[in-house]
Amino acid sequence: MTKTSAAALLACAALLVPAGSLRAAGAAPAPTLPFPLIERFEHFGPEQGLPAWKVHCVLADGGRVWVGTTKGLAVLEGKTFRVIGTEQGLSHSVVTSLAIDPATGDLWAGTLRGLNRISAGKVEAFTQTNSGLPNNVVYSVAVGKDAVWAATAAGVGRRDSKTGSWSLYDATNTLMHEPWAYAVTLSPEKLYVGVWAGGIVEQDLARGTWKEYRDPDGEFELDLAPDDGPVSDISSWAAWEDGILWQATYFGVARYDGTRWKTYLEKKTPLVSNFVNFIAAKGRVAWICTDRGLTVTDGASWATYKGAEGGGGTLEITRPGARSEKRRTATAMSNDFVLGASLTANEVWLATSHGLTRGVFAGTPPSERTHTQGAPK
Amino acid sequence: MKPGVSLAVAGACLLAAPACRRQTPPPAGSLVIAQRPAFPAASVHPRSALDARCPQGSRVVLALPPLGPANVHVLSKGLAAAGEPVVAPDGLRAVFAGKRAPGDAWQIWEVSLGGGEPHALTSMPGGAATPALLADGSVVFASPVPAPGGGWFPKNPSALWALAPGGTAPKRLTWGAASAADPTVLRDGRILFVSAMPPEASPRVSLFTIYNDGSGVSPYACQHDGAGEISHPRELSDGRIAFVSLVSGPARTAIAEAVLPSRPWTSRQKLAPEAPPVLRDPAWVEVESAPAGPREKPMGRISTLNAAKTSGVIFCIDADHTTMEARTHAERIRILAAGDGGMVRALGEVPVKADGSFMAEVPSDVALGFEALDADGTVVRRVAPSIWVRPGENRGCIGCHEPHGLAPRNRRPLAVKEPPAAVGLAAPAKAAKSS
Amino acid sequence: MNAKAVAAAAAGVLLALGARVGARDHMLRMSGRKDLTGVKNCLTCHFRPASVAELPWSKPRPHHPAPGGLAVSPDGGRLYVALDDVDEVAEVDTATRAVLRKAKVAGGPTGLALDASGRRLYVTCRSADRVAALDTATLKEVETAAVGTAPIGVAWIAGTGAGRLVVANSGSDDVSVLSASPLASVGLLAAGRDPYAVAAAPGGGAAVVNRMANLARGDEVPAAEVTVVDPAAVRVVSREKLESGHLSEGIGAVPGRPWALAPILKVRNLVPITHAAQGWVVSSGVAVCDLAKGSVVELPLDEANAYFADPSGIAIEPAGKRAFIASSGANVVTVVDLARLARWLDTAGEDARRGAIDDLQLSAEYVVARIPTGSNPRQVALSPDGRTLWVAERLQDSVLAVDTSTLEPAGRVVLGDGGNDDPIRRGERVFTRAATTFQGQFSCRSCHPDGHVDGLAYDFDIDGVGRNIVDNRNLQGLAGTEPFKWTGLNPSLRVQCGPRFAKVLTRSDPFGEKDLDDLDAFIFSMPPTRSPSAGPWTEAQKRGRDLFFATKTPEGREIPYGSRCSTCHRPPLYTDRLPADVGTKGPLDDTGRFDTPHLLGVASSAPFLHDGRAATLEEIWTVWNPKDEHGITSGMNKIQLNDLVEYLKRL
Repeated sequence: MTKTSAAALLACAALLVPAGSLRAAGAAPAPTLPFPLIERFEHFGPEQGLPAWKVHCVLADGGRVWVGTTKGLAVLEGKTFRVIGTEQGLSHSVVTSLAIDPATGDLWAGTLRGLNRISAGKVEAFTQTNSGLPNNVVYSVAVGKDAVWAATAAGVGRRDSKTGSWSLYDATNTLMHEPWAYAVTLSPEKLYVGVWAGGIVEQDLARGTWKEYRDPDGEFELDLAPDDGPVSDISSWAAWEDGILWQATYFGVARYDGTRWKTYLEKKTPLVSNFVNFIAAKGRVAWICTDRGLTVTDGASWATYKGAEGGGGTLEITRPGARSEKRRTATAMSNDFVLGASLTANEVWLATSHGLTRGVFAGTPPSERTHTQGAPK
Repeated sequence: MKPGVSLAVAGACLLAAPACRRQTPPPAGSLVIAQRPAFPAASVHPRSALDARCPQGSRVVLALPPLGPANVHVLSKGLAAAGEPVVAPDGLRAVFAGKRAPGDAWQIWEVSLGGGEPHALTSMPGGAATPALLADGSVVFASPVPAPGGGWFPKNPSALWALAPGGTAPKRLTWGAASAADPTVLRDGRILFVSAMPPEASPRVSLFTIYNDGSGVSPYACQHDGAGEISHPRELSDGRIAFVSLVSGPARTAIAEAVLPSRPWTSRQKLAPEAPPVLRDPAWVEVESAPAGPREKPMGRISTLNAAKTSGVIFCIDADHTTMEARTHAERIRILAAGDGGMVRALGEVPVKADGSFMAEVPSDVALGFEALDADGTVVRRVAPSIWVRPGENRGCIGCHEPHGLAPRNRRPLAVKEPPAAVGLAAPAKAAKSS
Repeated sequence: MNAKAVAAAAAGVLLALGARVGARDHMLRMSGRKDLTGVKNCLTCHFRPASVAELPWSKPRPHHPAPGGLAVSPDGGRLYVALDDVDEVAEVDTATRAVLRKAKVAGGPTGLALDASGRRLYVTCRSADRVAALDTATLKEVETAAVGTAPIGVAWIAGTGAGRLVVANSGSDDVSVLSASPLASVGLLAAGRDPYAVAAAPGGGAAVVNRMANLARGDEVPAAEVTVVDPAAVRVVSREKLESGHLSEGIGAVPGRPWALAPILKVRNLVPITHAAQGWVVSSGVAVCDLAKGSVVELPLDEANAYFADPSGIAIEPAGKRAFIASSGANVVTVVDLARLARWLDTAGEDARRGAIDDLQLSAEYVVARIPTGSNPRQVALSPDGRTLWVAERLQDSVLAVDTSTLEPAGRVVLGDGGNDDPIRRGERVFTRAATTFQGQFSCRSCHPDGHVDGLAYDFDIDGVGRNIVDNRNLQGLAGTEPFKWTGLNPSLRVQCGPRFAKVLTRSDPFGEKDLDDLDAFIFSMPPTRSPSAGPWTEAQKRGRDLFFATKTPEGREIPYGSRCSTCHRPPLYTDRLPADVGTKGPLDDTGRFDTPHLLGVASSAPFLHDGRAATLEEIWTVWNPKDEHGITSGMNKIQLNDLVEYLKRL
């Protein structure tokens, strides 16, 4: 994934003041949040040129927004969406995951039938039959310094960016409990693989050695001993940023700082749902996409966005040691079933099961506050 | 036809010819010249166009340097009339049209430039004329010699024939409904000749090519850029194709014209200036002349025909690619064949694929025409019988009467994914065998 | 005849029969095949080279100072010539046309580029996968940097620091971006197939033309591309499609216009080859890439009855008025008037522009001259003032100087003796000469650049229109692998390239005996295509090697002798030179028995199988071996298959 530039982080930090200023007049200033708040939501669907309502993944890259849907890949350039589908060479219409190669600007798109490289408009498909890709069902893709990694239904594939050679990692040659890999994410030194029913598997990139992180209590659905490791062995996503690994599961979230694990459950924290589809890590903050809304946290402060009955939505903010503060918002996400997120300095793009949503951060300059295509609902 | 015009064409050949590269008999600078008497002995009613061009007394001579009337050797010794000489690339022999007695039919004769008597190569019924030489030494000629005023679609059209070196049985090369005349061999090995396209009432006379085995008949030039008769095409050493054009009208003026091979359909222009006579002999009119020395041999070609077959295959990439006004999509193609007495018969129909392509196995050595039919079976475009395929020939076409000078688009025609439809064959076509 | 004689004769007959039966049994056993009919010649297998060291391509051959890349100093006083075959770069005084100095540059110096000052000369070294920087004051190498595989073209682009280099890596299908000083890689970008030449493009960009069309499947129309790169951002900006374009070896930007011009060979591989006239097989052209509009118009350089085969290098006048394109197969430089070309483009409708390349009468609109040259003109360069055109006459070891005002020769730089005594050199001339094709339409090199493949499949009509479509085969590393042709019917190269070739393809006189001798010498001198994998063996390659030579499946089942990889693909050439049916007979094929190709350099020679249906090595087994007729592979897991592929990349 693209990394947030230092400038972008500073810009996010600068938004904290306006975010706090939303509080009612006369109240004591609340402690600043370690993440920006979303001021309003805009929506994009087929009317705006998306090929489908269901959006699996989204990736903002510079001035462009790549959107993976059930009916192809769309890219928002300026005011319009351009669709790259199977007719343009995409290996399958259902796009599951996206990653940008920071060295080349090429986009990698995982689909339910292969991995695709989109480079200056050219689509090159890698499938399990025409390449060393382990399996056609690609859940996640990550680009490292010298290789592209793909998590597939039959292991992790690594394509060497220079030689084009593939290496395959699965239960036969790693500690991986089983080959069904849901997520790959990279730190400068490590590869982390989110394995279905196998926790997290880590590879030391320099040494090639493997390490496994499993839920010590062995319970998929319960976290009997908190903070003892991955919250569950059922990894649905993994994201690494700024020294922190986030594990998403359908039974909660775990955070690993390289030394200690911390687990988060909806019953014990403001996490909106244990059913987590995706986590976008930015700095030390996780944007947690669940089946019932979006929760943003650094592990201490929390904000959750949900839709509200009768229109609009709610924002619930929980600061360390303080009671939750719940607000009504005029706009909400297109749908609370959130499948992906991607952040820029002024906004977060959200993939939902019913449309693409742009969340505009409070304090965003007026010139960038309204996207020309997106219409608030 | 003015002899001077033909001389202009031939003279242009001479002026543009490469210098002789070796000293062999005849010496460098020698010419083979066709002459006609400036003062014919008697006026004889010409039995053929060739009689008019080469009346009794016409002869073929070898002129040696220094060129002059006194330094000529008659090559057509003993013949009543001779003309249309062509020198072999090795510069050692020449072939020409001649007749021993005034009442004889014209035939093709061969003579050594080193001396000796000419001998007849052919004994074609109806005569033979306008010889040309292929790379392998075969003599190409037209037969029968057309009668004056017979038109381009006579009952017995003139065809081109080839006689292999040492052979006695010429093989027919052209099978069009119109006469084929005046062959000449291009440096690329093709035979350039004059023929006509229908309608028969007002035929368009133009230049065509075939390969050395009669396959690949194609338009070369003059199909759409002029009117009237043309004859005597020759390839100049700079590549231009010169020919004699008889301009229509009361005066029926003959002029020399040429086209550029680079764009033969858009470059027709008058060839100037007319070349002066070489020998300046008042007793003789020079009809044409050619260097007697060696010249570059034309390119050869190995025939792909199969003499055991009686059919060929024709495929068209897009039957809707046409210059004809009606652009209606063709659903089927009806293939026509020229029959006896100018009759046209339908051989059968072949479906057109969605991309406009079709492929059929058709009888060989018969003039073929095409009718494009729409979904209702109505004829929307028609090309009268004019082209042919030779036995075993595979003929590829870009369209049906498509613009000239095109290369094909790089597409695999749908029609070639299936065996060709047999049309007009006596028995079902057999699958092609690997050779 | 007495009884003894009869007995002896009978014994002889029996012995002969026994030997024949024994030989047949031996052959069937050793080949692992039961479908071979008749005893093949013993020489098919025996008395073959025991090692590749015995093959012609392993033996020393004469080297020639064949000019490759050219560069002219900013003051016009010096011409630099890359001499890849002798590992040298020559410096020439343009006034006297004398060679002043030569620098030894290891690794096949091929492409040249000067920085704006002319103080630094950058040299791609094709066989060493590096770029060298030479100080032009001393003509010494001062820096080197690794790039992708087999770099060819290089351009220096101003704008970032001391400028950047953009290098076309022909073997790895990518483009290296380097800082010019210090010389160091800053990025590697995916290109098309066989990126070959680079030119500075308007706005600080670089245009890279790819020599080969991208792999096309079935009836898909192949297309090459011009990869437009932003070297400052290290990004591919755009990819301009050259439909049916191939053998593009040059590119040039047009001053004053947003154009990049790339000579192309327009292939028509999808059309059954029933003849050669009308550009039926290929024709030459130039692609006008409008980088501002992102549009491409392909225009012909040929004429209705004459072809100017294998357009290669291109140079464009500083004023942008004329382009000079070397037709390497025709020994001609074609002069294009760009103003006339622009006028035609301005007035032509969309349909005319789209169909322009197929209009063989069109070139008269803008082609204003054809300049004859020596043998195989490949690269061209103009002096900065545009007055002198330099033409590398590659196969006669000279560089022709042309006065661009008169378009007449103005002298030659003589680099060597032309190598007329070397049959390999003479054979390469035959290989690159289009004159032996009908109307000079193409040469052997047209479809076999560097003796390699063009990645295209063709339909020769000799066995039926539309039938038996065959993939182009690699000529590199061919020695010792006869018979030839996918059917294996041609026992020798002389037969392969003889009258049959003329009948089926060139539609002209066949090569003469002398030419065939020389052609043999040249083709057999070519070593196998470079393997994409070098360096120490990886674990995957070792595992793949074990699989290749395995006698048991990974599950422990015995692999029948005839189904082992190494039975048919027997070292050292990895072919048993026998036809085999590996279950790939298609509906348009007359037979399923095809020659067993050698595997040296196989990974660089996609596509695969007799009709090119397998775009990658993987597809040979994942798609086209459902019944285990091409080795027992259905039981292999993906790791094993990847390992096998890694091993093949090593060969």
